[in-house]
Amino acid sequence: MRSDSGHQVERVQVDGADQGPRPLPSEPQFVIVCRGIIFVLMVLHIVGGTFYRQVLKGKSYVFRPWRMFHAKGLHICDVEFFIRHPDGRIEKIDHFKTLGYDDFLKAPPYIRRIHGEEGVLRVGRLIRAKVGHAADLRVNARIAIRQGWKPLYTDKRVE
Amino acid sequence: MLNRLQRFRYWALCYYDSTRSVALIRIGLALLIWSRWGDEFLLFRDIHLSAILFNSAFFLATALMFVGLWTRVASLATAIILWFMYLEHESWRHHHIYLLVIATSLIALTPSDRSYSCDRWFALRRASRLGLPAPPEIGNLWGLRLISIQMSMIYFWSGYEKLYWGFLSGARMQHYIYNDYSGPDYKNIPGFAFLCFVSAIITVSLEFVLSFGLFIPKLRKLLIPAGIVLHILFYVLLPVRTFSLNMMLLYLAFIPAASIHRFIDNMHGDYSGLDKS
Repeated sequence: MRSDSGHQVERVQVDGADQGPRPLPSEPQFVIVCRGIIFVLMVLHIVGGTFYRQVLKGKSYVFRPWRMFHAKGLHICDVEFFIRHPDGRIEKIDHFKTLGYDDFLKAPPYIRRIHGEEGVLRVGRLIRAKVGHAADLRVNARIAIRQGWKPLYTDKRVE
Repeated sequence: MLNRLQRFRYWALCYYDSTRSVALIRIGLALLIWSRWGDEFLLFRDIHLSAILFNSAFFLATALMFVGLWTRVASLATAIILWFMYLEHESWRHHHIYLLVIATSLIALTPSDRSYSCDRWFALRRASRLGLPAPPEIGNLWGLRLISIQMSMIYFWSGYEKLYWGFLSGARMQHYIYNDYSGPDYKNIPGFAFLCFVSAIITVSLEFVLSFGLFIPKLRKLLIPAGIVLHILFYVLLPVRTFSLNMMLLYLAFIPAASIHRFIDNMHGDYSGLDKS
């Protein structure tokens, strides 16, 4: 709706405590045009910038891709140590208790959070030192990749 | 088509309404910025002259933004300082930092000085002195529209990024748990894999629904609480820093400013002093 002078006079929604609805304030055309230009540029930055980074795989720090936790947890391993006895019996090993940590929260980070092939073998060597070389110590492990879990070791003997 | 463009232009650029919501966002952002950097920027942490000057400028701009003194300039100065930090320091190029940067930049485009600020107090005193009515708490909130578009894009693109089998199967959720809550043998817990699968599907679905649904008034009443629950879970379960709190604060951009104004009015009771007789 326009007033006689051509200014917009649509009603704003807020009622002042004692003043009732007000007409929209009229603003210079220059301000309105500048605001419009900045709005379009900002929308291009917000929408197009992310499209540029995430779809077109562009590189610019000014634009932000929204990839939260993209690499988090990758290469973490789910590990299971066990001893295969000569009679074929399988004895699962709680690696925390075997390494002397009754409370796993007291174990160092590299034992609690086993990362990658090296991490598995490192913990394996520690357990080997505890159980002795006579035991047939073995490990099953899978590693976290973007597509899910990938088998790392199946029934591998730990030396 | 022309009619739609006209409606979009009106929606985007002619949002004249109560400035209380933008003022609340301004104050909340200043607090979030302090919670993120306040400790790091204490002057004794780096006594090089350049660092002392920069850190002083940081505290000055954010403090003025918080109390609302020369609010527009202070908000703009804060935005410039944050952009400088984001672009210059690789260690600060995180999504939670960027959200603080862009939100501050967009709030600087709003008349957040007209409510809950020293500027407002001075304006009231001036009006009182001149015998004029109190200046209205009304302004053009086009910056809020940009904030709502930014939030929509965050939900959309973060949902888009999760559209691969590794996430949808729940495996990536398992990776997060194995990484941050390492120790127990989760795979032996009955239903663990299924729970991860369900939570992955809910997360992606909710992100896509939030990206569009928050603009639909009928859905908003349902989606804002759902989004807040999602962000509270992110906040307590994952190291998201200020991101969740910032997103929850920015939900004010989707609530009609008039509703917030009336809600605050209704919360206030009359006070005529204590009866001491």
